[in-house]
Amino acid sequence: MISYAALGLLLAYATAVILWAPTLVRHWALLDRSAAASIAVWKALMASSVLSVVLVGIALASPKLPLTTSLAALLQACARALRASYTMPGGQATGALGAAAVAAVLVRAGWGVTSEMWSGRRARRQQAQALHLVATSQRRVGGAVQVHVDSAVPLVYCLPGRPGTVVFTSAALARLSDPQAAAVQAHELAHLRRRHHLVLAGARGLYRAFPYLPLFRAAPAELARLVEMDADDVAARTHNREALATALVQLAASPSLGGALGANGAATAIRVRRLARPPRRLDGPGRIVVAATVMGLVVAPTLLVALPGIGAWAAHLCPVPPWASPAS
Amino acid sequence: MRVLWHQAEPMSVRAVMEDLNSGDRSLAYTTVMTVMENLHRKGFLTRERLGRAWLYCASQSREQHTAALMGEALASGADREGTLLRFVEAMSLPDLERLQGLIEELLPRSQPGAEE
Repeated sequence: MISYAALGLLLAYATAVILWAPTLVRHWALLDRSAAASIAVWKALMASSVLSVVLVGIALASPKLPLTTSLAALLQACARALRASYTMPGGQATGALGAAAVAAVLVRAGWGVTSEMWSGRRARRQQAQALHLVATSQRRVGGAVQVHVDSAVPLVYCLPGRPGTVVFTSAALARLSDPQAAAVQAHELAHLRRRHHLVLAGARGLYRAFPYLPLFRAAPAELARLVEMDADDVAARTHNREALATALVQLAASPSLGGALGANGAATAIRVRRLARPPRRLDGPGRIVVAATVMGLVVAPTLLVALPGIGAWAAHLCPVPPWASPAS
Repeated sequence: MRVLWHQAEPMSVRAVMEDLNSGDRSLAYTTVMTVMENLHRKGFLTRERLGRAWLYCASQSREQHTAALMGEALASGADREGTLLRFVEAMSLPDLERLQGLIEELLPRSQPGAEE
């Protein structure tokens, strides 16, 4: 039956995305030219896989949903045709299973994402308050508050919030020339303006919800690198690329406390390379391909589920001879 | 906070208010008191009773406080905690040396007449 095929296809699609998308995306050379495009594709992949599973569940559960039939015979006939195309043997059991699966996936995903988004909030607010108290100077820059603190540790970071805060330590400022400091400031402001912390929180949340799935396991680290490159790209539009690259090296020497030192050297080296030798900008055709991919990823699952319904509707409008219609 | 750090000794609300108003500001006693109570509640100030009034003291010096904040910042990381986003993450010494080599190779600085 059509509906079985469509649902099977959808599940296969979701499985393929969850298992193999990370590898495929990493090898898609076009995306290397634009960090923003990569981020969009990752977001679309995660949304698409969750959406697919949810839609499979909804489709399985549809026989349980009451179809409101209007008085017109036409609509009654449509409803009958829809039911026929969605009904499967063992309908009750699969319907219940479908509904349960949807609920489980949605609740779990929702819990993961919400808990990640909320967990940082309180800590950030407290940090922001403390920073404003110890700051040696503060001023408004580009919708955020820039704060200088007296510290021997050369550190620059941004603290998302309302408003966001950009922190420069005195040691960091001592290491940076004016153009370098301006470029770094632009990078941090880009993080705040583009709300990168939300993208990262969403990815971490889905990883928390579904930790054993390759797509969600790979996303947080991948997106962490990509948002840094995206902020670099944004800053490079209005500030000196080389200043930003040298600033990276100047500030790279600050220590970490018990943090993992592993991959950071490689990621920073990639950023320096990208700034010193920028990749060719993503042109018109490239942008169209990326946009089409993103839209396709999000829309395709919905289309696949709607196919049986569309088939039934079309069958009614163009009456099919009895020997060709599906058994009801 | 600046007043309390500067004096480095316990002060009453009135004393802080007088210090703050020594310029051309005129803050009300209740305003100063409310702010100081809030700061106490959030842990920035400690207090002890002296008769009917409270004497407030900064719980940490500015340096200590700043160091603690920077410590928190250093311990955080984008793909782990997500509280904040550092400009550049920490790296090992060999990686840092390699990075310095890379930048020298990619951006020869002191070549006169070199454009871009």
